[in-house]
Amino acid sequence: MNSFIKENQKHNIRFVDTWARYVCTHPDKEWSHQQNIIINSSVRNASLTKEEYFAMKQEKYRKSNRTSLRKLQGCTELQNKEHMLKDIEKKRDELRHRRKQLTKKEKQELTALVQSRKKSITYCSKVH
Amino acid sequence: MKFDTKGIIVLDRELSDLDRFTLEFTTVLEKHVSYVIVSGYVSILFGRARASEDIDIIIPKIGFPSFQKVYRELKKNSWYCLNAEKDSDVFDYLQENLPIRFANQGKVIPNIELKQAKNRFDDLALQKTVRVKLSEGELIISHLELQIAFKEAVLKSPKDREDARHLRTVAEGYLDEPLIQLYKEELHEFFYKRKPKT
Repeated sequence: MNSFIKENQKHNIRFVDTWARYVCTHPDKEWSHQQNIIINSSVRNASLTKEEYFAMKQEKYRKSNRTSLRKLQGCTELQNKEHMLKDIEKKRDELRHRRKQLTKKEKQELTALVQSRKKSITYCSKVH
Repeated sequence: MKFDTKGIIVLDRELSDLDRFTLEFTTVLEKHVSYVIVSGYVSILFGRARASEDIDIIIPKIGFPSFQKVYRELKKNSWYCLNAEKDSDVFDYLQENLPIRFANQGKVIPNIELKQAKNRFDDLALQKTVRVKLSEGELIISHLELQIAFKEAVLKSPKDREDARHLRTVAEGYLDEPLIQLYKEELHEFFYKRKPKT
């Protein structure tokens, strides 16, 4: 397989050299006319969706970054941290509100779960 | 193909779809910001027998107001950004050194891959440029020595090595070989031996 690849590369290089010499020794209009057959046909026949194309290029094409958006809006580092703190507080309030809506049994289960988590965190920190 | 020592190359080539596509984009871009074309399209422009689905263009770092002007005019001229629609979202990509892609409405290929300069070699490409005169306009490309060195010392894929080989042959006698070697050493140092920041 390796020898096949090497042989193929040798052929490619030989073609590159031959073609480059042709470009040097012929008028621009002549070589470009032939080159355009390759270029135009591949450009005109390309039919990929945006998603397929980005997957092929292994690039992300959708993202949302609130912190950098704030940077864009002219926020300083400190203002950014304040925004982040507000986000956390907002989430905490939402959770409190949701907790109020729970039934007695669900509340007991949640308290038990939180306590078991706390115990495991304390245990881990002691071990470390 | 006529190589001028003053950084001008005259190409009397028959224009391809890719050439016209690039000229249309740069005509809008150059009204607002300087630019330089790099990588694969440079060798295609000089006759390499292959196509490309994207054109790589580097621009200097610009602020949001300047970007808004460029973006607005591109949209007015039927271009769209493949990454996002809102100008602030698109600019966000550039701010994080991510490339953004532009294509004609309803198409994905070909597209322009636009990046902000992010290292000294990008800055160098923007400073040392070559004007290529075509029958329907002009294109600004990076000087060929840097392109060859980058392909041989950094990218190194068979396709890139062939691109460099083609450029070496068609621009023989015009190229500054010691400069290519110097760039290759510097690029190698920068991309492969650079110590991580502590």
